Amino acid sequence: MSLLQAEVERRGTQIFDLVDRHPESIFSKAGFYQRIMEFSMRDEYFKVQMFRFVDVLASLRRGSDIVQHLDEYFADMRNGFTPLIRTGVSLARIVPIISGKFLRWNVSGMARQFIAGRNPDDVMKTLRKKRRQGIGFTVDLLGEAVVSEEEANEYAARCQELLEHLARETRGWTDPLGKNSELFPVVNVSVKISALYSQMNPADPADAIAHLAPKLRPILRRATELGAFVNFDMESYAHKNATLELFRTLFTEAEFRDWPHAGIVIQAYLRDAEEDLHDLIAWGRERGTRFTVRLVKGAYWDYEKIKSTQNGWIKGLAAFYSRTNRSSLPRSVRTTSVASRTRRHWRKNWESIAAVSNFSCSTEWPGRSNAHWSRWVIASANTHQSANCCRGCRIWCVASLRIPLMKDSCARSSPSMFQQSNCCVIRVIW
Amino acid sequence: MNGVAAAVPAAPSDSAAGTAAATVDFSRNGATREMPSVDTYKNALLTNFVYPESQEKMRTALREVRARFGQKYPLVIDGREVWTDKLLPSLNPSAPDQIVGFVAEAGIPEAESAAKAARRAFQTWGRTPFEERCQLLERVAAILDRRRFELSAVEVFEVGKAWAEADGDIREAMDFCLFYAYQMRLRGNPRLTQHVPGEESYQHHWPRGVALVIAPWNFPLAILCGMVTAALVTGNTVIMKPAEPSAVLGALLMEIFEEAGVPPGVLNCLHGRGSVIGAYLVDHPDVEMIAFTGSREVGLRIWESAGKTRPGQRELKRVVCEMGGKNAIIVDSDADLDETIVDTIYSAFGYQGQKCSACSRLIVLEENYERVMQRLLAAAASLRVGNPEDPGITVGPVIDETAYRRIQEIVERGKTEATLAFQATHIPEKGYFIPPTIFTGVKPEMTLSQCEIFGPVLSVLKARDLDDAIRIANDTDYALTAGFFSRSPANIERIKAELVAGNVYVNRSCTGAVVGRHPFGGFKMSGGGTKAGDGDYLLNFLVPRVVTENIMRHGFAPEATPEYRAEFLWPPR
Repeated sequence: MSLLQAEVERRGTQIFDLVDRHPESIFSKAGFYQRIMEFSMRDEYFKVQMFRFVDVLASLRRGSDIVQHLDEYFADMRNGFTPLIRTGVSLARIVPIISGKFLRWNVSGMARQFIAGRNPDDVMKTLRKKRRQGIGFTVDLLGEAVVSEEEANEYAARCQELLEHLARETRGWTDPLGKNSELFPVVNVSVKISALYSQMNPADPADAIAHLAPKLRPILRRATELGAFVNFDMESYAHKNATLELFRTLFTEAEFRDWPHAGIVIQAYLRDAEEDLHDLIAWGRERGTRFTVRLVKGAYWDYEKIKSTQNGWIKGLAAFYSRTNRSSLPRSVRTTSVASRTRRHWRKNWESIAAVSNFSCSTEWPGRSNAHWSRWVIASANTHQSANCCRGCRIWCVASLRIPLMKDSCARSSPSMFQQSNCCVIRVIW
Repeated sequence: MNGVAAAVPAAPSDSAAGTAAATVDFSRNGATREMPSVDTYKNALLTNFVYPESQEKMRTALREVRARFGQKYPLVIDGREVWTDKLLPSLNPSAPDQIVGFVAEAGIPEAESAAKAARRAFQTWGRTPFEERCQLLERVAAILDRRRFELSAVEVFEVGKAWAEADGDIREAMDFCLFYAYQMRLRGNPRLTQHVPGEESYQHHWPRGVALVIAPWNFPLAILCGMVTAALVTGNTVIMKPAEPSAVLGALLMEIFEEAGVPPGVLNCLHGRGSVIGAYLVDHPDVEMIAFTGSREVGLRIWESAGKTRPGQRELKRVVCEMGGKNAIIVDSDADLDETIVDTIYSAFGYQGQKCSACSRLIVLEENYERVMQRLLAAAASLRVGNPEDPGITVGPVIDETAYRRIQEIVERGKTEATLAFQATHIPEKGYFIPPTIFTGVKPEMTLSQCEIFGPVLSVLKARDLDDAIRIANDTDYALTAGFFSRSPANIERIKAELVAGNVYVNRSCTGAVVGRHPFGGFKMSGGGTKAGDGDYLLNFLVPRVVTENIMRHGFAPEATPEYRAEFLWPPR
């Protein structure tokens, strides 16, 4: 009995020692998070480890797994972060049950810094808050990679659900700026095309379209009924041509020919961007109905750069504008856009926005002080108001719904992502 | 509290040790450690089929190649076309009633004259400066590039490769030409061994003589071309025997070498049965070395036979022997399943599992098992199986009827020892199509875990923990490739050290080695430890020599030691 007593006392002393030394790091989310940000700004290696850790975090279910990974990723840090982790890890080892909980709470606090919302109510809360600030929304359906037709069908079903949910929740909402509401439907959803067909092959766009069109038609039909906006997201270069072709095919069909609330993304860093825009505009004239082009810059840049270099495509078949060459593209795009009355949405980081400032302006993500982690901004500008930098400009908060299909981030797979917490996550992309 | 204070590493107390350790920080797991690669080789390009032009070129090529089905190709001996009274047909495995082409079949007399021609040609080719030989390879690469869509199309028809797989094979063939030329230039000149006064010591290499190249059909241009170019660029002359099911592609490669200007007798091409002409030439006293890639059964026979010294033989025969694998991928409990599933499916079913590097065992940690299997089976069920002439096809036919029957038998036998968890049902009726097949409940000692299947059959094994998984993975006769999916830095480090395989891949597919980037080859029963697509590979085709001259006369020696000298060319015998 006395032995046990001694042991308890010894451990208790150890814990209090640790807490005394690092009170903030263990028990304050803010201190913990602050230091992480501080370090990651300073230290490239730390940033890599942090990124990887956050990546794996979602799939870890046991506290001991989290502790183990923390230790592996950060134990050898040659900066001030190591003692924090060390403390946490040793604390967890001394009193696994109690401090494991503290640690998990702390870690998930950290995770929350990267993930803006964890369930549909959070999503709506965020959207309402943004709306009060005069900010509309577009919701990206991200999800994990779709590796089978089973998952592709599920993704299609989620798209439908999301549309219904958003339409229901935003009933009675009007345009946050109180104008141009016919141009900007309140419900605005981006669809990840490759998530609707698992066997997309760059060599066979016809097959992709044959499989994708039947899955998209019901979604578009419902969006038409609900008065929602549907944007076709653009992904890796391998799927670009098929996505463009699919867009043109569907919106030339009699059913959707007159529907003005369709949009597509063009990645401004692509060498093909200008030609693709010209093609779209020519097509749009013939179609005779307005559609939207959202110009994005940077989304898949790093991925494309790495893949192209590995395949030796960067030199011979270079598909990309240099990221630093900011002047040439906006000019050409400007010409084409004005000519066609296509509305442009600039989705840029600060530098790029500066380069096209006579068309758009932007505001930093409200409530986020660190530009580095929140450079993801959508600014959308109305052509007619282009002379005035800030009038008619909209800041779009990108709320990316992370859809759990049946895997990693959601061990407790739910019948409907909107009925259970923890099953969908709004994720801020950095 | 102040965690930041610890950010500054403590100054080393021992200054000597401190300076030694200052430049390399081993605690950082490679993230910032600088280990620049000396290899500046730039690989040949892959075709990007996202471009409509590429798709159109491929479709045109398929039409054109189809139009010349049934063409006949000769043997080439000493620069002359040789026809025999027998023709061997090469079939389209997607539609076996279609004959892609015929090749003349060589017998013993043709093999004999090829050996004599190669021996004669060696007298001059062995003395050709390496620069000339390098340029031959570069001309071959240029022709391969010019004809790449045509060659890809032939691969689609003759060996049933999907478009991108076929293109990858052409690209690899080009890479072998260009990479070995690049490496030969780095190694061609004699190298001064040590700088000592009064003496000049150079190490250099001579070619071995006549090389017999016996190639497989699964990378019909790349592997054949790789072995041939390595032999040629090092100054050997070659008798090549393409595999029977890919004989037309072999004949086309011969055509390309002739167009590039290979001198008569330097490269000879024999088609026919390995058991006849292959066996004859392996034992031939005029053949100095054998480069073989293929089955374990044939490889071991060659290894043994080449070990016997025959009358008239000059050299100990060197055998470069690359054989099969029973490659495993381990899935850790924290693996990124998106990548795991996609890459495993590709590793197991890409080119119908007929790559020596293909994944045939998936070892899943218990904790993760249900989630992995649910997604894996659904992903396998979504694969498009069919005639690879169609661009969107991922899984085509297996190579021929023998393979078809053999794999079917293995699947039938597998059903009696393990659980058939998935087998695709929608497959073409005609052609040698084996549906993608997944077995679960497989135990390490079962045939499914031990025998190379060389088809679209994946066995899934459950492991208790990582120790168990590693033990299962290493428990085969082979050691070719292995894979691991994990996001645990500690487990990744452990796997890097402990997986017994020639090529270990972490968090990516275990197939698709790139020349120069992933020198490829295994050990144990997978091969003799040689690495194709590696600079050192060329050494297998060479004999090293050292020439030392005492340059001191009566105590006087020139002060400057030369850094460089031209080749010590092989002398005619």
